[in-house]
Amino acid sequence: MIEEKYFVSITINGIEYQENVSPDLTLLKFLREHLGLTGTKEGCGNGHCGACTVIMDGKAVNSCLVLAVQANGSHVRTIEGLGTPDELHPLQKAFIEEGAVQCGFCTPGMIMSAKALLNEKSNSEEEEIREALSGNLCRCTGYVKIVQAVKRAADYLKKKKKDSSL
Amino acid sequence: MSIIKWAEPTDLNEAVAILNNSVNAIIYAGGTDILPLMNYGLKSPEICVSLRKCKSLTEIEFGENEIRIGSMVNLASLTENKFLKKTFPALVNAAIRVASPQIRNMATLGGNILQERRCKYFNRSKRWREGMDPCFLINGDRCYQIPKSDHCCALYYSNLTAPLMAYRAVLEIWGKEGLQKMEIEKLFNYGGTRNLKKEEILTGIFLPLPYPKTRAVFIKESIRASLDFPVVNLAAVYSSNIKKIGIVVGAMAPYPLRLSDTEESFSRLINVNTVDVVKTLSEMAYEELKKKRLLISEVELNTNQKMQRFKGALKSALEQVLLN
Amino acid sequence: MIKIINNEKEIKKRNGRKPLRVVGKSVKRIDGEDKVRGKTKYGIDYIVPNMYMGKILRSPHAHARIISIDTSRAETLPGVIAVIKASDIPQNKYGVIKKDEHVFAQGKVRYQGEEVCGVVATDEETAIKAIEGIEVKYEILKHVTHPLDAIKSGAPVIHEDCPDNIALHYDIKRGDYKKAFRDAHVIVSGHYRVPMSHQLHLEPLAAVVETVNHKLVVHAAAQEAYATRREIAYCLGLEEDDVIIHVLYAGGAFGARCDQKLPIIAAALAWKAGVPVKLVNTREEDMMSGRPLMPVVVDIELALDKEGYFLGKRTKIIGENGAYTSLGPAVLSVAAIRADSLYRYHSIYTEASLVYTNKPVTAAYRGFGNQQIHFPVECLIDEAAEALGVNTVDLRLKNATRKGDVTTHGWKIKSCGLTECLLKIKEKYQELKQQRMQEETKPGRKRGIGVAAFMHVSGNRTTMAEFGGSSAIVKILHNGKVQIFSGETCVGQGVHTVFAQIAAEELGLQVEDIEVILGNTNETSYALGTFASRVTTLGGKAVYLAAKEAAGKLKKVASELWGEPIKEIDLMDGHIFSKFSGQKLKFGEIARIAVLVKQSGLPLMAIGVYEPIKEMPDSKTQYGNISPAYPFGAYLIEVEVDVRTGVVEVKNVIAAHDSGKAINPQMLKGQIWGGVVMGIGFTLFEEMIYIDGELQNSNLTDYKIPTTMEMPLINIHLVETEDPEGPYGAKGVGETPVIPVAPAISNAIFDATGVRVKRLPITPERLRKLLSE
Repeated sequence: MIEEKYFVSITINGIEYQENVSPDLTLLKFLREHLGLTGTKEGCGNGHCGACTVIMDGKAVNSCLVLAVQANGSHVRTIEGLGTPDELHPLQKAFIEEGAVQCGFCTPGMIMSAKALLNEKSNSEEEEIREALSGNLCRCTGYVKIVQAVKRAADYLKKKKKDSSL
Repeated sequence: MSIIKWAEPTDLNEAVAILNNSVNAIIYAGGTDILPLMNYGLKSPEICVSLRKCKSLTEIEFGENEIRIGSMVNLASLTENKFLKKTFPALVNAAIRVASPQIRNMATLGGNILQERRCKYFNRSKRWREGMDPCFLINGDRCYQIPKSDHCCALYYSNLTAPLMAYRAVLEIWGKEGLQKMEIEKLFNYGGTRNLKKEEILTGIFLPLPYPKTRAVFIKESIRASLDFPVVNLAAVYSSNIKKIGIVVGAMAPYPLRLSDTEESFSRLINVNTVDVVKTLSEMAYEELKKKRLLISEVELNTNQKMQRFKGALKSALEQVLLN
Repeated sequence: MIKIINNEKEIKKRNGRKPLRVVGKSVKRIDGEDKVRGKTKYGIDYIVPNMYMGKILRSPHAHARIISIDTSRAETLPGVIAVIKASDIPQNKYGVIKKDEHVFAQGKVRYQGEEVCGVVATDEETAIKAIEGIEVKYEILKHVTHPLDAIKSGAPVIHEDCPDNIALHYDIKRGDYKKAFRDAHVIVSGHYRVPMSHQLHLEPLAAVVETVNHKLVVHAAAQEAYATRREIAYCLGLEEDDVIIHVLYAGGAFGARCDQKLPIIAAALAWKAGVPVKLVNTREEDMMSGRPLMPVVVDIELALDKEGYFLGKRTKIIGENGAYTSLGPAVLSVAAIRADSLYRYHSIYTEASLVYTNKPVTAAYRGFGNQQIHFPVECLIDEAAEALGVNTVDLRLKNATRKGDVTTHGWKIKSCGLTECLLKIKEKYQELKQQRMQEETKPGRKRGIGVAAFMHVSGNRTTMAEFGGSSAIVKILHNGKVQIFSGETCVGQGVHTVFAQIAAEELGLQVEDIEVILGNTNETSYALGTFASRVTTLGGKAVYLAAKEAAGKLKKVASELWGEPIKEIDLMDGHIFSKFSGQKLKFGEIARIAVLVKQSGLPLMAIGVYEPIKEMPDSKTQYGNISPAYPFGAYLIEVEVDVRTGVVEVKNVIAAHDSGKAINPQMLKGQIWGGVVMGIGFTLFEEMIYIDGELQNSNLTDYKIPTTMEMPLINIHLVETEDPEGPYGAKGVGETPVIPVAPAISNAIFDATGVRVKRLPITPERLRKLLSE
């Protein structure tokens, strides 16, 4: 059986990637295996752990449940697209400062879910943060410091906004 | 998992034609229900017909007497719509309680209604099911849950169908003859199958605007507060103007259950906003559910637990819609 | 935070010491930046050039004889490089304690998921197709999945050399327990059960193996790098030095990467196929054939006198080993003994049996058997308090082990903050009780408060190694760069940072100036690894000793250089200086002199060897001090119960911990927050359910671990005792927080509803049923 390939163009972290892919290739596999962007993780393959979370067209999604052909024409942001080589994104900074990183495997997915939240609601209450992260499992941290890190990051972003508007 | 072909028609007629002419085609909406099934080797379509380019399917239109929600509207958008939140709170709460934020960003209204039923013998990897003859849901000839059954007994877990039914939604379906409408209840057959031909596409849902002073509640009982499928879910919609109540329950049978006897008894009552009425209705509903439920063995759950959760949820829902 | 200073000598010691600059601070993790950038490469991310994919064919049956294996279809599939079976493995039969396990099943399969053969192919899809093409003929045998059934006469025999399925038996007697029970004023007893649960580390087991310069290099996360090397070398008939373990960062472990089988299989595939091979478990494979928690069935009795002193404890434990031995005997021995030194028992009698079943092999799960025994003990003590009519915390305080005790098992308690922890819990207990009395309860819901105490070890001596300590090498290079080499491993708890803090403290540097190399067997000294909450205490102390020696050597160089006595020389703020004359040099400068000028380029080397417990306890009586230090603590947990449905919500946790000095308070607390939530999963949600020998919940949909929505309010109180053994008085913490959660929750449920739940997990249905009776 000859498998048909389909042309996709997906912008990832600001760079457009074009490739002919099989229809059953997931966005997760595309990122990890075709582009070597292994920051996004696979923990379950079925949308039940959130380790594969990326931001697609502004929304947090499980990349293991998105087909590359579905992502054709989309803008995707992964953990690699956060911060610059010289400076960490406030979320990354806050996660380190609050001790929200232990084994670090859930961290990229957590940060992307948090980023999606803060993009929409810069002033998030603890309850909202918990709900926004309720699709991301962590076994090491007990979530306590992760929630606090997101709050801290929100403060950083607010301050940055204020500083830049001055 | 293997899909051979992928189609993205921009026109509904084109979509219907592809579905009609293919031997093994499936409609691909958000993918959050279908992809895990394909990963498990439970679905191996020759062609996936994606609806993401069909523009009319992502609109929410407001009419004088009703609204229309396109079937490809994702659940997150539903929850963010202020008008829907105010007018159809049970529907919005049902959407909020689906899975996780990531899934809600991809999952669609149509996909949630048409989601595949679930069973612990079905939702297993290929390797786990190795050596087992296929069951009804995999086009086989037996049910592992209830050996005497002549049809699949897998349960229907949709969150959104319960309030849609309670709100008396009407489905818009596009087929070979163009547009058709169907009351949402008519979609489901006894036996769990659906009244949708292979080439028919669910394109929209019409919701009649509720009477003013309508109170509606959705409750989902689950083990964890996130990610989980429901232990039981229910929607209660009470329209005081016409003194009618709609009570629909999910995750208790291969299809959603309208507690019509209880609804009927309610309409014959005079003074309904009392604690006694809540008590009476709760008992009635419990007995009716006992009659109508068709349960199977679920992982870590049993009938007692499901019924107890239902009891608590229903009482709470009735209190919320009937009492001050 | 309460600092305990117990006598004059110690006070003098403290006052003479410099204030700590780096140790004791919540320094940012040194591996944090790579992790938040997604740069860290875990096993599943690791690739090497020309890599092939491995896949394992696993038994679908719980118990069956292998009649034949036909691999011909797999072998001829295009893209398949090799198909490997038991007969290809030089030493197929292996085992860390008893050699009864197989790399690939031989003769029989003994649990669903057991590895039967392996395939190496160009890509994953081909490898999966190849696996599906292998035909195995089985003769299905009767299986047994409950230890109580396995010990009945007529039960299927799992290992031919063990016809009653009882792998071993421990009999431990201390004091005159018979008299204790005769003289008792109150006797309480109970039957408790803990089921099988899974570590559920978020990253599946994975390994990449390649041959480099005739050596087999294994890239994998591992808790025990050297044990992994030893087992691989043994199975493949290689010299240990021909196998190199390159330890990767782990996406969680919690014991699952101890005695793990996957790297052995990956190595076998790569070695036999002659190509680099990557092997990754699916979530389902991880669950079916990992090293889950040992289930126990415990019958326990406690005898108390009129005043509430613990006269005696009588326990019968049946521990389920699963299909093979692995670390089973060690886990059972922990369950048999470890809770006994929490209180001053006058006498003890414990019988423990290790039983085989046709289920996956139980081994190291965070707590290593201690969780399983604390559940019955701490629940029963609550019942004893009820029977005597005394406060449950007071009863514990009365019997609590204290510093200086030599316990019934001969354990030497050199530091103990148990009393302080219990007092803290008591204070919070009264507070909460007062608050709740004044609040309105919601209809149908009841709140309750429960308490549990705990103790654990910090690096116990085990029979599985010739030594029980740790060693470290500190190297200072000519440019002032400091490197620490330790064979210990990190699986997320923050070992790199703790070691760097210790070295930075002694060398007057910052954490950023230290490079820590862990685990890699071609670079470090032989070490035992991450288990028994030992790494900070043992590994850290070795680093401390090595760093101290390195500091001493640098001071000697400066002393000679400046002609001043060594005691005037000190290291601080990146400099070496004389307190007397004020002369100073940058660290880099003194290093340059020490290495280039004084040693012709040889780096300044210092070693630290720390072996606090040289002798194993008596093998027959099991009497003798087993660990250099013992962490203690007590928890208070508040729950809210829906009495109609049995749903339990954990609202509040107060965790009082004595883990000695907190080297990095934030990381130490991180272990506690994480362990509490893991403990909640263990108590309320998690059980691997087997029907007909088949695992029912082998995915994350059906095996539920807590999400952010299940996180309670957690308050931590650190009681920092100063342990004389650990570095700066530190003791371990890693496993401790999971240990008291289950009994505290069960006791809280009793407080709320009057019902005692003695079986885990406390699912809504289990509780609801008990409530309705």
